[in-house]
Amino acid sequence: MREPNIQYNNKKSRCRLEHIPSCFLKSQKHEFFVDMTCEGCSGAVTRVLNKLGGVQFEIDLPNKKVFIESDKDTDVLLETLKKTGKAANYIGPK
Amino acid sequence: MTLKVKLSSVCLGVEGMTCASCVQSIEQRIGGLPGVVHIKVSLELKNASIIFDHSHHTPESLAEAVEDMGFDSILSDTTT
Repeated sequence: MREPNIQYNNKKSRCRLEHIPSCFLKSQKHEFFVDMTCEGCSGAVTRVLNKLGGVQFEIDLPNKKVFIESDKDTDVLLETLKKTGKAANYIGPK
Repeated sequence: MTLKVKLSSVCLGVEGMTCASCVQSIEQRIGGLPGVVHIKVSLELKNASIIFDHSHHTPESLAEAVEDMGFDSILSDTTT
């Protein structure tokens, strides 16, 4: 018995990672609390995040919040923020 | 019993501190590293003087630890 040979555009159909809709691979935006008190603190946060790379972020100094858009694990991001020596917490996805 | 420790002191220039909480977080974080005996950070002089055990750290590794925190650090002068 022959196996069914499904063809799309003369190519065999295969399930590959590229075929996952792009909306599932989109990087997630995360909200973090970092105990920053001045521009020096937010500057330090900026520098450690830039060093990590592959992240887009916004810093809200008055509210002590950092919004990070990245496909990296939240634990990795939190560890990076904690490198500054300031108290940091993960609040949740945004 | 005598413990033999080779203590060194180093003065690192630290850029990017603007307030007392920056100073405090550096003192806490670097001061908490094993082999660091004493640390004094000055906001006015923009430097950190550190007394440390030479078997744990080098001035370079300490400067790297400060840079890792997001501050620029310049190795200025070493006295043993």
